[in-house]
Amino acid sequence: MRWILIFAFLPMPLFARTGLIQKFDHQFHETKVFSQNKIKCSDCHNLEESRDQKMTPLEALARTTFKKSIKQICHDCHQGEKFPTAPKACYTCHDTQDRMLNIKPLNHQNAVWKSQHATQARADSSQCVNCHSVNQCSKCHSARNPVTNTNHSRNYKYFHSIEARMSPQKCDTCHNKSYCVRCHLGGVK
Amino acid sequence: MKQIHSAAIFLLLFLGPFVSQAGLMRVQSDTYYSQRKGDDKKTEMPLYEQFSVSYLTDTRQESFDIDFSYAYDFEKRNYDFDLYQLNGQFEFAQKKAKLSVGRSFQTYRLIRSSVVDSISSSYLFFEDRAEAGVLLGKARQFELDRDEEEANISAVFVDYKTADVFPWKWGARVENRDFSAVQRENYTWGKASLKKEWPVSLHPEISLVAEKNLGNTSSYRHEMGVDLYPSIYTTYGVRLQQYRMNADESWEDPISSIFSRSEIREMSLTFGHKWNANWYSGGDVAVDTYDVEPGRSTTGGKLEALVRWQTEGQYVEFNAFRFSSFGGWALGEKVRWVHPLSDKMEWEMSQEYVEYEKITSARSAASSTQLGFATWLWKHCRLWVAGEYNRNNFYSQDISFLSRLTIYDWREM
Repeated sequence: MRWILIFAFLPMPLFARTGLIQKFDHQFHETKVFSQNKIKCSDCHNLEESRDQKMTPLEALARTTFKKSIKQICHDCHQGEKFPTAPKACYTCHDTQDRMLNIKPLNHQNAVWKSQHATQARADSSQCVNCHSVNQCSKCHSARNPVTNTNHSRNYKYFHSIEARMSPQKCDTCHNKSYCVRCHLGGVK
Repeated sequence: MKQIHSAAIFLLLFLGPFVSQAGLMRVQSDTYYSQRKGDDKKTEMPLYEQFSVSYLTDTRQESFDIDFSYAYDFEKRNYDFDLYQLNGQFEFAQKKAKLSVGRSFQTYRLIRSSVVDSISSSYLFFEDRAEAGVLLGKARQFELDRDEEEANISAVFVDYKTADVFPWKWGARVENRDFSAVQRENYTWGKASLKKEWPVSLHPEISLVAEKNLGNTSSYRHEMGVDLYPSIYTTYGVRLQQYRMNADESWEDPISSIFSRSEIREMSLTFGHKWNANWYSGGDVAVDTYDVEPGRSTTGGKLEALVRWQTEGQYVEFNAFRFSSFGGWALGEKVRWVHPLSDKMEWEMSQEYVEYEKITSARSAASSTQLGFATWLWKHCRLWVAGEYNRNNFYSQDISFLSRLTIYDWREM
């Protein structure tokens, strides 16, 4: 049995490339978490545990050591109210910028997400603050200025008039008429 | 010296309730300096800095935000300072009630997000699944070289989600804005929203938003977004929007009122697929239509495609786009390449080239090249420094330097 378990867990270093398994401290969880909360090996791993604590490998163990996705195994305890003392902060595991980028949602990856996030943010902005601080909204939406071109590409000022005529409602999100007047009619005030 | 002590004591007292709890702190400083010809064709040398700090506790019920910018033009001797956020949110009855005080960028308590000096209180019901509250304050608008503009604002908001794993999320807002300070009327807006995803084939995720001026005018915005996920590697998105804003709706006339004499309708389709750990490609098609004068409509469109390749540390992204309207057309590309120099250092190159033709000018081209270095000063602190060269064959050339320092750290109790 011991050899089966050793071979089952040998591939673990391969998962270390994902970063999150590397973060998981099995020794710490064994001594401080599992026994106190009666969490069994078979709760996460592809094993079956009998009443006398004898472990039998399941057929699926040949393919993967885990019963569920790693994400689900971690979130079972680190989200929700099942284990109130388990740390719930995202950065308990996602504690570097790389590990945060690993969980970036697929719809955020497209080039146009910046101009399309508005619909979801208007429908449910509480979801945005799971990862973003309000400062990140403020950075683009409040600090509208002609110095840094934060929101538009560097050359945008040369051909902005084409897109302004295509979808003028997008300009309304941040600018008013006086922003146009500043350059086109020599400025205001 | 005495002032520094007083400031330190004030900060400790103010930040005390926040930093005494486990949480995440983020600090970011963006600095920009450029030497260039301004839009008035005169030389300008602007220095611009934006600095922000945020602290969010693990319970997500307490937070603290600071965000400000300053700008100085060494040539024109102009100076500007804007405080966008200085805000704290406290939980004054555990899991029952919250209070938010100060200047903040309000996104989810208001219908039309803006910087507001406000006090707001909200109450939690049904095991935190419902939140209802009120907000009173003064909305502000900032732009460089302009006086701040104000509007009195009052709002009520309600959010509710069902107890499912994939809940129905409902939201409603009513908001009054009084623009009498700029000799304009006051308006009351209403909003209803819905968000839901289903754990079935294609995993559809739907967002619906309806906003309307509850007074006599005919201003409104209706939006629908649907994202579909045929697999964990593929996404399709559809966005539909109907938008109409009257000319006297805000501090000033909205830009859309310059061009549009009717409702603006927009439809866009997006596609993205992650081919393997290294390759991602995506695209977008968007079409907008509205009346430029009664009975005469116009249609504009945009097409964009993206290919990205990345390995450990290496990152190359190519983006091509074309858009057109009755104002002309533009065709361009953007390339971004990030290459690691060592474990802690990487260099980054961005290049953009666009050809365009407008109704107001002949065919022209513009290019921009940026070369930067980024390094991890320590585990949670990243510094990025870049130089930039911009050129337009008709207007001007300019050169800029940018730096970004990001620090984030957390405290576990």
